[in-house]
Amino acid sequence: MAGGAEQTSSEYIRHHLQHLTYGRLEDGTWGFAQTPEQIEQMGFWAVHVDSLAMAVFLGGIFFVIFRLAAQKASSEVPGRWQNFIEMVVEFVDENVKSTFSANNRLIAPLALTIFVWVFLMNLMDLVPIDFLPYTFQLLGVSHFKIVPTTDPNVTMGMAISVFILILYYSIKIKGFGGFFGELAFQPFPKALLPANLALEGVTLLTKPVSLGLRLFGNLYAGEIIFILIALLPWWIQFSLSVPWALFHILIIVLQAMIFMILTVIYLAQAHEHH
Amino acid sequence: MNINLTLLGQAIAFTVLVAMCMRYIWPVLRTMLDERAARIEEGLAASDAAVVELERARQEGEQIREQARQEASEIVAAANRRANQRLDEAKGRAEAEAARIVEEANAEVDLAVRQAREDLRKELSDLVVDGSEKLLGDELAHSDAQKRLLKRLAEGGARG
Repeated sequence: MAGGAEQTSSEYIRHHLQHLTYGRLEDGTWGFAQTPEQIEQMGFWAVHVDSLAMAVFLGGIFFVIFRLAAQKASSEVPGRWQNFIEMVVEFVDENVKSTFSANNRLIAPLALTIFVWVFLMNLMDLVPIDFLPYTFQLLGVSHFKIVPTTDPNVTMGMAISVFILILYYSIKIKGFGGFFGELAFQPFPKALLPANLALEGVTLLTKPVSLGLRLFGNLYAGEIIFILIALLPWWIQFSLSVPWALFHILIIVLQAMIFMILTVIYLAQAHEHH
Repeated sequence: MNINLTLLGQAIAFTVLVAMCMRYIWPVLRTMLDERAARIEEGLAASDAAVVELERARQEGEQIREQARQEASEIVAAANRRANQRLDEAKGRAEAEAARIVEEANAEVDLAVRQAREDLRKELSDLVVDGSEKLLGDELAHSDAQKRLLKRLAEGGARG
């Protein structure tokens, strides 16, 4: 526990779950929220500065690492690091090729970005829970959540972007009529159009929700567990946090992969003619 | 669990990052990997070809060696044949020579025998004439015709 001596367990948990939020305060000025109530009051017009900063920072790391690998790329024998980067690229490429048959220059880079970026954001969950927030506190920043994927705004932001791509390609490939037909004229005969629309509409809308909320739910749950473990006496914490962290290594890779593969599958469906 | 502008911010960051990846990372790495795959394929094909070539060369070498071995044995056989031939010739010559020498020796022996026989006959006839002269007395001794007759007798007796 990194808080002051007077901090209770629930205060500790709440502190760890509060984002560094910038928005319009009650008195009309703009600033950082201190309490959950203030955040509540800010409503939609607020920004989780910590989520976005970490997301952009990690996105930058992704770009730099892969850009360097791309610049050093030659058809000569690669070094170890180069090899690792290329392995990731090949892995993503294979996954895309196995599910996505249409010709689209966007899909593979999109999948690579999602996979690596989401993985890096998830990876922050393995940084001991108090390290960065406490450091930021010493620097005068009251709250700092370092795992962007535990913020539904982040996961849903990506999921909605993917959803927009699904809609775009569905309409582009099948035409508006074709896309509407897919939603309205199946699985039942045309006479039952409302039932079809309801069913297919739900199916369609489920895609971004499942995509975003699955990632958020897994990582948020993982983080909560880490926070709860952190409430234990310091000398016993390792006995739970180490196994959970080891297990979490699987989860963070798996969730990044699921997000990527589902994105590819959804976009592949958007490209399919029925 | 507040949904706010972060959603939009993340969507924008996502879009920008994907665009950057699409522009600066993916095509470069993909092209390079394809190139390398092509090179590796070439290398493998070349090594396969080299293996085939090696096998071919090995077989050719074996063939040449086999041929050389055959030629060598032919040469040895020919040499043996010629050596035998020479030996036979030499033997033939030696036998002929031996036969010639033996024949010459035989001829000499014959000559000597004839000579000896001649001498003996002459001696015998002389002895007969001498003996007859002693036996028949002097009257006969002066008759040349009788001498000749006696001589012919002696010769005929010696021949018989």
